[in-house]
Amino acid sequence: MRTGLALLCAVLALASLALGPVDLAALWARDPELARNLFIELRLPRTGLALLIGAGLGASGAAAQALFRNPLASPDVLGPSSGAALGAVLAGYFLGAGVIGMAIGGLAGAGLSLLLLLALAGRGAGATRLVLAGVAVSMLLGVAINLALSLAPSPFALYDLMFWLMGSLNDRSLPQLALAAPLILIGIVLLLRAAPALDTLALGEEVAQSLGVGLSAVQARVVLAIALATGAGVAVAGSIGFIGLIVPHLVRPFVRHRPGAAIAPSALAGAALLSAADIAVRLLPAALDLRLGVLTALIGAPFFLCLIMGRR
Amino acid sequence: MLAFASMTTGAVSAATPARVVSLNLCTDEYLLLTARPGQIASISRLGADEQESPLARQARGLATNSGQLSEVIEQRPDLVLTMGHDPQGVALAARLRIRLIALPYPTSPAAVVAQVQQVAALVGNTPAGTTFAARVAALTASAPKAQPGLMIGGSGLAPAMDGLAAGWLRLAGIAQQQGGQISLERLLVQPPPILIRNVYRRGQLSGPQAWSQHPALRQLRVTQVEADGRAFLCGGAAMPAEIARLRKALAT
Amino acid sequence: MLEAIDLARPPMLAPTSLTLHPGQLTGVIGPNGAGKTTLLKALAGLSRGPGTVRLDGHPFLPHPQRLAWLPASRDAVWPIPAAALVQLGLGPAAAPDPAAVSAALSACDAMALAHRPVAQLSTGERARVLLARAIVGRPAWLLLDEPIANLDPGHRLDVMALLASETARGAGVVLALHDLDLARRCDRLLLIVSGAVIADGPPHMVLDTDQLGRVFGVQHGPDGWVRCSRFDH
Repeated sequence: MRTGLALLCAVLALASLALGPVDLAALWARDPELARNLFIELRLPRTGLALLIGAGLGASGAAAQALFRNPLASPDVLGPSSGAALGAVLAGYFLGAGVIGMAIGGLAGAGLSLLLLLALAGRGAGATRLVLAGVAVSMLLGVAINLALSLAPSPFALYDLMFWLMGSLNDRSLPQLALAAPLILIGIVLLLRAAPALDTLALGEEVAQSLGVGLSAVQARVVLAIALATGAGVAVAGSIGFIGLIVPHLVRPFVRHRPGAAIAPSALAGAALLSAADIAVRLLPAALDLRLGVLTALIGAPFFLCLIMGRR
Repeated sequence: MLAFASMTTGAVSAATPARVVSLNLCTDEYLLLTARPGQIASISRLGADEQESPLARQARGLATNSGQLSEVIEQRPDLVLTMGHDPQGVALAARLRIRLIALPYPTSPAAVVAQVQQVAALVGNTPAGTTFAARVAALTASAPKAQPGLMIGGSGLAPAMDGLAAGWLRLAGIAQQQGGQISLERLLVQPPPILIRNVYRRGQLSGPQAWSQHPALRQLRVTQVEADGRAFLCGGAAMPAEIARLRKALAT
Repeated sequence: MLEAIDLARPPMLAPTSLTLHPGQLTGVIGPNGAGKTTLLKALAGLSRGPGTVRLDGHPFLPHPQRLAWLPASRDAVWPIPAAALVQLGLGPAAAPDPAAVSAALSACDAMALAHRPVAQLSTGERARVLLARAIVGRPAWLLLDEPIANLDPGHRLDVMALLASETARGAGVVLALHDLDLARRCDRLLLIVSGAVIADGPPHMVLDTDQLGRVFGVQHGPDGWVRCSRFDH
């Protein structure tokens, strides 16, 4: 399965590099220098970020569902996306940080929101309590973002709210890719290393403990990894939802439903799905002006509903 | 054509109202331009904020409000000015018998001139309105031949080709080439002869403003000029000075 | 040797000291809420509190080969096939071992269920698969909380036989159970009432009529177990 997904990612990456408002091939013939600049400064960051952010979201979704033993868990519900948005907003509006500073703010925000989550839920808390705490943290942060933007010195800050709520990969830059990439990759690696412990967790928290899996340690590691894997992406591209929720469900049947084993294929599938969505956004008629975050929500929400109905 | 959709309530007060309040940045600017000192009871926070309006310096020492009518009732204004659609404000003013005038958003420099003259008449300073009209007429008469160009604001959004900002740009000799979301790729491959960057709140970054800092823009080899974002926020009373400044910048 | 030294979990379990020996089948009986589960979890090192537990003289860290814990709850969140689930019992660091998994499944009469998702099994079937998970690593100690609770009579006997064979290979088995008939098959019984071990010894001694009457309010008559008054003894 992994080879199939990796191949799919490669194909989508090539498609993403080739697609854009400008015909790159024709431009290359005319003005190779400009074509090269366009490719490096615009096409490459966009493609790279779609793959990486998608992978981070997919892996985080699978890990969250494994850790909380709940198929409805995802980074969207647990707070890191809102935390990252809040951190970036605070860094940009109130501290006057530049693009890099905002990304760091986003990372800090994601991490702090997850720490808040763990503090609220308590050490070694059961799955239910963790999910409830996550929902509470998410709501709190949503309110905080609204408040921050309302209090922001600029009255036009509220227009920015849309950016944070519904992300976009439009016109991202190479420095943004260079910043987000290592952080997301480290996060994904940490999640992959936690996969065996997360598989064991499927036996239940007590049994996992008896098999040598320290619950608090796993929680801390996974939470940190999710913060890295999602926080940097949000700071650079805004909130992109539903990838982390959907992808593990698509992938788990192929790994015999073991939640930890699903992390690696979820990363690949997430990368593919987000790249495909970003390509779709570029192919849709310009009049629609559909943002990536809106498209993923449009696909994801009905899927989520089917999921809930199926479980009844 | 002159959308005189002002909503007047209550009895018409004396020719020179003693206490005038503005609840909106754009009417703040109109007031600062036409009212006499001491006539202005309060303007909105934004009008007194140097990051929001080029005329803010004139507002030093004035009381400010947050744009809500309820806040200024205690000052017993003779006249309240605001812009745009505010049904609640209008209803409240009617109940309290306060004279509230809600000007519509102007869509062209000519509309702005009409509004300035209207406000000048309301505050009993018609000459101020006439002066403004003359200034704009002079700018229109001396407008350089329009050459194609592109003004871009935050997030790569360009003002509409037939909108208020485009109307003013024509007086600076620029014909806005395109409106709406600008694709950075197309901008690089088919750059406009002149690029005007609308700079607003330079020190403060947010997601959309990151667009204007994109490294790819640095490689753009076209004439680039900066516009004062504050003036273009309203496209109103502060524009003649801004157009004059733009003309000078474009001439070099 | 598994030792508990002044092990207590207030308010559920009073300070208890015990020594359990490998190769023995020890049953833990007592009324509901007496503290059976609390004692077992404490012995398994899964709860924190006063007192110590030592394995072969040393305080121990949980490890798949040292001790296996089987809780009473049978819930399964993920529809993992039985064989894959049993494989997880070998621990997070283990390589796939289909032979061990098959052996464990057949010992629990669950081979037919190998490819069925655990979440779709009946409670009894699931109980057998979960038991297979517990024995797959051939741990030195098995601590089981009510392993026969959902099983039909035939499978109950099968499980007791399986546990007996585990002790034969040298493991120490401790299980909590309510079935007093099957409790007779244990080598040793601990009777817990209100958090204290009030009887500890071979079944014929612990299951004597007076004890049972006092503790459970039952006695064994010609037609099987019947209710009796607690205060007749």
